[in-house]
Amino acid sequence: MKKFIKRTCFYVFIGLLYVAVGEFFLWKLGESVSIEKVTDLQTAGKKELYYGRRILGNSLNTYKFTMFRKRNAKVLVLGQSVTLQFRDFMFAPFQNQFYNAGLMARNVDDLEYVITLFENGEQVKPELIVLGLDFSFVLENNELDKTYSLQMLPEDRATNIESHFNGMQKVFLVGTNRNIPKVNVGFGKAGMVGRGYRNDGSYRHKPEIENYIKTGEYIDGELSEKLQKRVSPFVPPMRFSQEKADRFRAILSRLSALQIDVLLYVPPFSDAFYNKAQKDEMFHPFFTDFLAFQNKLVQEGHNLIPFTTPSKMSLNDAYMVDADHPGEVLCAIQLLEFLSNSATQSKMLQAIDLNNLEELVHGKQHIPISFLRDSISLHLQKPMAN
Amino acid sequence: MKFNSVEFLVFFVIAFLLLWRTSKSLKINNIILLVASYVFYGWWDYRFLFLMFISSVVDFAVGHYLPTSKHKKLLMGFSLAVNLGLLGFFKYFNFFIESTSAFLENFGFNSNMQVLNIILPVGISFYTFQTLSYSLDVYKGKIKPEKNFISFLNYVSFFPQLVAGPIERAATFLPQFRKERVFDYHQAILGMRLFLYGFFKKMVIADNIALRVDTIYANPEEHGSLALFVGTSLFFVQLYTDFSAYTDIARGIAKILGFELMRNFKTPLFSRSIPEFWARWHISLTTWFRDYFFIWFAGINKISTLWRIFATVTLFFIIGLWHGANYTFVIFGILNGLYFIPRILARKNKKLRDFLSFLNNHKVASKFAMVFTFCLLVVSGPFFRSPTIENAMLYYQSFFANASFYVNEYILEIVPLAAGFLIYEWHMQHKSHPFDVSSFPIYVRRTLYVCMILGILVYGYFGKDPFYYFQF
Repeated sequence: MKKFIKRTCFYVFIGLLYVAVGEFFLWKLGESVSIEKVTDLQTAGKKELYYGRRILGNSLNTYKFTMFRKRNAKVLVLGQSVTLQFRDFMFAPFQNQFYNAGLMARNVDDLEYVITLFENGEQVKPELIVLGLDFSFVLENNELDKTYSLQMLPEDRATNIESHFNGMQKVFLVGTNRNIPKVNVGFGKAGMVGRGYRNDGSYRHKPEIENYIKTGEYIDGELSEKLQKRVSPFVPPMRFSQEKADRFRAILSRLSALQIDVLLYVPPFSDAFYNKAQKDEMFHPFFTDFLAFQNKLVQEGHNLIPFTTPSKMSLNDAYMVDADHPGEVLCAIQLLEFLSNSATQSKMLQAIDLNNLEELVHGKQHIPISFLRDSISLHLQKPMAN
Repeated sequence: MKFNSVEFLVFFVIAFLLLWRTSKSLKINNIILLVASYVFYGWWDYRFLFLMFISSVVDFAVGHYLPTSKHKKLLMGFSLAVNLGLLGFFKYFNFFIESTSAFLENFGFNSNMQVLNIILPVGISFYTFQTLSYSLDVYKGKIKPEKNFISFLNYVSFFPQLVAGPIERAATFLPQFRKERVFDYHQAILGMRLFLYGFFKKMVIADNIALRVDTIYANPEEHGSLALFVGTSLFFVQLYTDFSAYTDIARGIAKILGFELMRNFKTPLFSRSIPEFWARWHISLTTWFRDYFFIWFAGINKISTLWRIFATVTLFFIIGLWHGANYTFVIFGILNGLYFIPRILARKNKKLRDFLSFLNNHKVASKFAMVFTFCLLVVSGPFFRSPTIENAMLYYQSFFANASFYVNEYILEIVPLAAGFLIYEWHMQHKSHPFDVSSFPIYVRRTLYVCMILGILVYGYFGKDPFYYFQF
């Protein structure tokens, strides 16, 4: 039997060698740091750290939900990826009590669940919620209804053995994955170079920002193509769901009952995309219904930043990260415009420092999609004047 | 616990060391083996251990009293009722309720029958058949009842083959728990080879093919005729490599632990007729049905051809249903039963018999027969793979409506792997070990093992996919 064990051990050693080399790279790239540890360090907030795994995968809902539970923010951003450019410094004097939980609640079910946590006292309730009203929330056939659920959080891939083996395969099969970045400002291969989720929960679109600095050009992204090909979120039949709209309004009522102030945010589209989409026979009627819903909410007295496109604000598409993601500068401008012009009753909204926002928006230290507050790579250390 | 998981590897190392450390005391050895088997099964859901235990106790007691009892039929009926009752409740209850409800609604009755939230215990179709075969064999006087309760519990729960077979027979398997096991280096090496080959087949071939098959079956309407044909062809290669991989691993583990399990496959994809396919596919199940059902049922009327056709179709109806409580499996089974008609008619028709014999034996014709048999399987395949009849019909509809020779790159890139495997199988079809490399020089063998290990690690699929037959 000893001979058998000896022979088997030789082959086990081959396997272990592979695992050791693979794990070394995953560790060196910061991919195998658990969400628990990342969120501990990010909530400590001593320095800006970015979370962006490229090899193991982000387990995003779990990450965002863990941060949300730990931060107990006074100002909370909820919604899809379109809300991810609201940043802490825009909400002075609450910048240290802010968390952007964008991409955590991805459908009406998730929103209802989050409210239930507040109602049951399982989570400290915020005083202000910036709630991104994404059109997908009231889409009758929303794929995100089936694929995401806050009540079934994915396992953290850093603590999952199978994910590690998948990660090792990527390390061995894709040569570029083995390149260890020279800078290290975060967790995960993308996070290390500063592409990922910041301590305040917002997302840094590093390549897009760098691209703009290099070329000065706006990139529309894949949204037009998705509409043309009728793929998610534009899956036919694209119909407005009154049932979901009613549930959304019920959510607003529940928040009101909890005495949480709400600022609704209907995200913009780039002009390039919106002009095309307006001519689309499936999108146009749906979006007309969606805008009617938005207007009804305004009539009902809700604080709401309405749908727009950059040209309607005398700006251009360069203020968009891509067709449906506004840049942080545009978000700040929209917020400033709303706070300056509306007669909101919300004490939290009234307390937001307008001078700070004015300085941000009218300051020279930014490009259309970024305030360039993160400075890690050489060419970003000297921000361009607007 | 899944074979393709890290926890199983740890579990197996512990079991291996403990079992060989105590091999000199058969009693202790069998107790450790039993504990290992119950831990293995309980890892998935410990509550269902009780079910397996009940099934074992009933058949042990029935077997014990059968030889001396005056009410043999009653006792056998009790064993059948308990085992089939458990299987029926956990596997078919909701199916029965839904079918009855739909039937009543067709006649205008408003039935308010409620389905239950029942979890299907893993491996129930396998171990109930194994324990039933024991009672049936004792009833027929083919074997004597087992006296040692621990041995019997081990016979029902032996962990390598517990969840997906092979379904062993008491006559050959039970005696292996009665004799002291001695470590045999040669057998252990053969077992290790089966183990490695099984993992390679499952993780590199079956799972990578499964990813492609899944994309086709998720949206059949988006694919052309050729892609759909390739998709179902690949599905059969997936199904075979997946299921035979489980058997290889099970047999490999058993060999390492000093046991011998039966062969469950004999290169079935090279069959020259559907009857031959079923004689070479999942042999432990088909022989079970042959011995305990078909011989009796077909024997009711040995002369009538029509009765034999009916008996065969009934047999395959049951085999289909055994796979799952779904009409898709029923249709798949019936179709395969109907494929037997030429063979049945040939019993009384010399010309047809000669023709079938020519197809079987002629060098060139037999190759055509192989391709034709595979095509017949592909025709019935969508019923086996699709979750509902509607999905299967959509598959056929798309096949005829989307006449196109286009197959996308993602699917095509796996074809060489599947073809390579079939070429390898062709060369191995007459060997007793599916991975027979004993004639190779030692350095070639070792290089091959290292390549296979690295192949699994670099190209294997590490996901949540359990073995396909776990669902049955």
